[in-house]
Amino acid sequence: MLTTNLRSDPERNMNNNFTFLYSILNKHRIKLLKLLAIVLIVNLLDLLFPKILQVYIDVISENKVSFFGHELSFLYDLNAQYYYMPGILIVFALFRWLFTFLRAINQTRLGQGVLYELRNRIFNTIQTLSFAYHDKNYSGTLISNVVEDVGHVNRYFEMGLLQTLESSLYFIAVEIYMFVICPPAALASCGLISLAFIYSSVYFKVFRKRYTITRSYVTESIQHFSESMDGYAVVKAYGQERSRKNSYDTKIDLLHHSIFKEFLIDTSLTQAFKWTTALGIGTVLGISIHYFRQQPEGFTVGQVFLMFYLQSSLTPRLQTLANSLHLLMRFFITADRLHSLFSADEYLVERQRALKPKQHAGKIDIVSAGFQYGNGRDCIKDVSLTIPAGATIGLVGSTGAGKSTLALLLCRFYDPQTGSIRIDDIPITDLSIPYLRSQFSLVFQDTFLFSDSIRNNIAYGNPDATDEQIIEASKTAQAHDFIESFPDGYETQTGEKGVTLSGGQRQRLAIARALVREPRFLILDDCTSALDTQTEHAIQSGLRKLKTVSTVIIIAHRFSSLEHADRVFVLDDGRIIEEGSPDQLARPDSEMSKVLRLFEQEGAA
Amino acid sequence: MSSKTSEHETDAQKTRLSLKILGRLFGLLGHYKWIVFVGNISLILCVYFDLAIIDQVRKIIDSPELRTGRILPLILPVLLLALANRFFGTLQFLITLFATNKAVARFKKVFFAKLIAMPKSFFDCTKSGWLVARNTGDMQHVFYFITFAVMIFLVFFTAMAMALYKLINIHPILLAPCIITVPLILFMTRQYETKMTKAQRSARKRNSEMVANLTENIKGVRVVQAFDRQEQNMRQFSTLNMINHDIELRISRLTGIFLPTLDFAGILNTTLAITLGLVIMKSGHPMFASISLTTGDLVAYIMYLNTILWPMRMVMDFLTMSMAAMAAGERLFEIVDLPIDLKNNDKPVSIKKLKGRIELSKVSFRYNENSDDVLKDVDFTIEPGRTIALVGETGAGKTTIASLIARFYDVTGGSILIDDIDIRSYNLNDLHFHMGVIQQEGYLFSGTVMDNIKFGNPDMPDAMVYDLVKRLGTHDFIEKLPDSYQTVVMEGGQSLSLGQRQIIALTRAIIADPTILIMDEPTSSLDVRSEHIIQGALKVLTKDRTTIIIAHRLSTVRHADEILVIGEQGIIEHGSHSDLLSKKGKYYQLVETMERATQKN
Repeated sequence: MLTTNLRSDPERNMNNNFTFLYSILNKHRIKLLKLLAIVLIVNLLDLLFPKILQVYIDVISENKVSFFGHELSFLYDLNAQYYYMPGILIVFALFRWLFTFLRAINQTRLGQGVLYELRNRIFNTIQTLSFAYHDKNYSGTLISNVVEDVGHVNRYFEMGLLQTLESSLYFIAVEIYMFVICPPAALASCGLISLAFIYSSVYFKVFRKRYTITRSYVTESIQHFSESMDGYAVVKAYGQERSRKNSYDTKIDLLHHSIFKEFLIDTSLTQAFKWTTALGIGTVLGISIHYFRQQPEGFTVGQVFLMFYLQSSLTPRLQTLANSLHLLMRFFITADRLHSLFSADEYLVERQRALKPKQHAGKIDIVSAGFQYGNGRDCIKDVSLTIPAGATIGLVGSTGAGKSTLALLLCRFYDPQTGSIRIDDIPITDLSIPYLRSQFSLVFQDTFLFSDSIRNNIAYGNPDATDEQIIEASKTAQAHDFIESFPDGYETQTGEKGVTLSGGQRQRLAIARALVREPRFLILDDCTSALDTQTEHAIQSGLRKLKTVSTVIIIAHRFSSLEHADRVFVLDDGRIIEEGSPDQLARPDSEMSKVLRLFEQEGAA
Repeated sequence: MSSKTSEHETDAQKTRLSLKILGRLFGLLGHYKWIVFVGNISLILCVYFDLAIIDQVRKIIDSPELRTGRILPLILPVLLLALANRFFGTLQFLITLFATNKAVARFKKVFFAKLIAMPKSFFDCTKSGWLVARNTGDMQHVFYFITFAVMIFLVFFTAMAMALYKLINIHPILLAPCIITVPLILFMTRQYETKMTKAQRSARKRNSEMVANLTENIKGVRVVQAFDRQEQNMRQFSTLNMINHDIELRISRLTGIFLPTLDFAGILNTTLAITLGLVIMKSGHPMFASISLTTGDLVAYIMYLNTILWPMRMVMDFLTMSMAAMAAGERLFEIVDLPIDLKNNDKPVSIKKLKGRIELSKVSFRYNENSDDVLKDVDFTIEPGRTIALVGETGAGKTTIASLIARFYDVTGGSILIDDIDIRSYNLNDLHFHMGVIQQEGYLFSGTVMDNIKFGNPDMPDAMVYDLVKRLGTHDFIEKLPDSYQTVVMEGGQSLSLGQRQIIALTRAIIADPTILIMDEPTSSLDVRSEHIIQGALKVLTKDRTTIIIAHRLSTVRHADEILVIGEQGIIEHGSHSDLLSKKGKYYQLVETMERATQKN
């Protein structure tokens, strides 16, 4: 599962997270440095502002001013020159305006740059991970995780990162500045606030735990909701509305109780910063007045104002910092998941210099193949069979006998743990995967169509297909007539926002989609279950006329689907228990007939 | 439902905030108004003490004690005020959070309760994915709005109003600079709001396009890989990704102007005000003779202005959240406001035990007002305990009859009686409790196989379940599942095969022990063994139970006590299997096609 990492050592995770963050930022270091420079300038300007105000106040209260030690007499020559001051402030304001604008732009450039790359990487990783990975990670969970993760990453790089940088730099700069003016006051301010920083390490731990709990409640309540909507017919049929509602209410209560706790923890950090800075105002004022009084040269009101202003300005900044730490926290939790996604190793390994033979005769050998999914139960047990080039082969057997798995092994969606599979005597592990896949068209049991036009869905595996090819394939798949019956014909939209197709229509589109690729091997995995017998036969006789397809493998559980097969293999519990021509298997003493007869007798009784 | 189209329309119409929706969202807090009230009092006290700190500093600066005398009496009030300020600040935060959190939880429950009470017809034409998206995405926006935007809103107005009052109290003349800066801020906010709404909307649209693309490619990952489309999909996704990237940069140019300009206006205001103060205090012009200002006044002015400006920076967050919440709220309220067509009788007849006699009398039905009748004047009676098979071509109305008996829809003419009482007189939940309806595709819930079997009767002891399942003949089959009855079922029954799913769904029916069983036989064929188990279980299940089967299989039809052949608008033929065969009518034709299919097997 994607979340397994959460349970492992948190310390190491933290390090991993920082490494992960570093590796992302390292790629964008130029943008980052630029942003840092701008943030520094803005911070310096922000510190300059109260200094200028101090000058003002000193002019007003003392009629004298020194600006960093220089007597600036023209500034307080009240008879003529005090209009310099507003000019200076306005120039200052314009400068600040420019740099804060640049900061916003550069912040987004960095954030979006990182995001663009991460999103691409996530997409590509998920797309290329093998079936073994996707078996373990249910698509619903995967999607909600990925979408949510992208959101968190988004928020962090758009706001959090900059906020952390800017607020902490500001905090440090203010403390240094205060230290220059009045060391004991700065130490007191720093001392108080460091209490909040010490608390933050506790916060990180507690928050992380709570967040994980909340997440699990979120998943539960969403799942309950979506299942109730998907299974509405069953809920209605059994009159279970009230019990569904009650258990949903319980889940929502649990969830929001947990969210409230999460907020409490979350706000505790913000509050810690607020309390310490608020108490710091009085402390800093008291200490600095005391300190100033002891200075031989005396002090100005402006200096007192400056200390007050600096300490007060920390409150909103540290609140922002707390907020950004919260975003960092969420980012780290996300990073764990992304990290385990990126480090998932369920890839099929392609041999170096993988082969791409020019011509294929089309003979397939399965040599004592054995395979199990992750659950430790053998799914395919020592299966050996040869499919001669150009043959039509049938695979029959009851649910769970291993028919579909065998097909997936042929196209190398999984590698068998024992034995091997060869095409024209070349092990398929020596072939390039894209090449191998291009030789096969597999029509799955469950038909998945994309939200696109029917035409594009059919051309999915062969985007360059001409209209003639598409219509030809549709005719063979017995889909042309119903497609034409739609007002928009081949341009009709399917999927989430499109027309609702019946199961049989979907299956026929899937078959057409497979045919347009002009594959050498065609595998039909029980993909005619929703079709009536006549249509099925029409499709099969159409298939025999195709020149490009050499070998057809039909997986079925009704015999009528296999009438035209050259050879039929009966699978049971991962083994081939019988093989022969359809006629041979139809004989009364065959295993297949025994099962069939049993059913017929019962049915007639 | 027309939601798909209305979604576009409403989005297109709304470029500004709709106060009606936002008002309703605020209204969600109605149940907790006293808590919110106490929170607001705390907030006012918090801001009051915050401003009082500034007042105290103003006093210190103007006081002669600044340079001599004891420091503690000067400073102590500042410390105490800070404590009071923080105390009420924290209190306000917790109280408001408590109320908003409760309010959101309540709204989620109301939303779910509304949906689960909707009639089956609503779900038939609404995609569940659409509803789930409403419940997750839109609900999240409402959550953010209620929790954070409300807080920002309260803090913003309280702080603004109180600080402004203080500001005027120093001396009204210091408000003069506002003549320049306030219009600047207003103009900019206005500009920003309109442009931002547009940009945000297109960003949301582009973002959902990208997410949709991602989602679809994860869902269809097997097809993607089988057809080796990874490279092309990557290109497509990258393009969408880049469009998002560009839009966000454009938005940042908007936000990038807003905040700096706000700060600029703040600095400008301060500059003008203290310059004015300087002139008043120092120029000695007779015009200003009546105005008395101190240094402390100016310091206080600067700090008050800061108190106003900081919350203003959050206006942007408030606007963004409000806009998202507005669109989201509209979609959610649309569902909450839906009328429920199927109403329970005010004084429903209670059901202790049903006998199971069903009578259709002159039943007519059409799916909506403009369409043609699917059924017209249908009359028939089913005696308790009998098994009736409904046969006919696809679309003939077999499913409609079954749905009407289950009262998933109400008849548009005539009436349906169960035990001689109109089904509209019963309580709907009660009625369904005594009926078992088995769908073609029996949906399974996540949990264990046992949970699913006990769905209609969760309180039944396990021992009783085993007894019943053994009688049904599916016990051995379930025992053979990886963890027997405790086998984990994933959402929608994903982890199980079609045959396993159907057998479990069938077993679920016997535990509910309905008096009336309505069954839609699956069209898709199963492997021989599963089929065999199902046929056996069906025989047990239909015994001594009024059963209505929508049949596709010859073997099922043959076992029925009576067969109704459904054609256009009603029943064409009825009778037993042999009676109907001898008639050589429609039924005879249907049986012939079925037989052909069976022979081929």
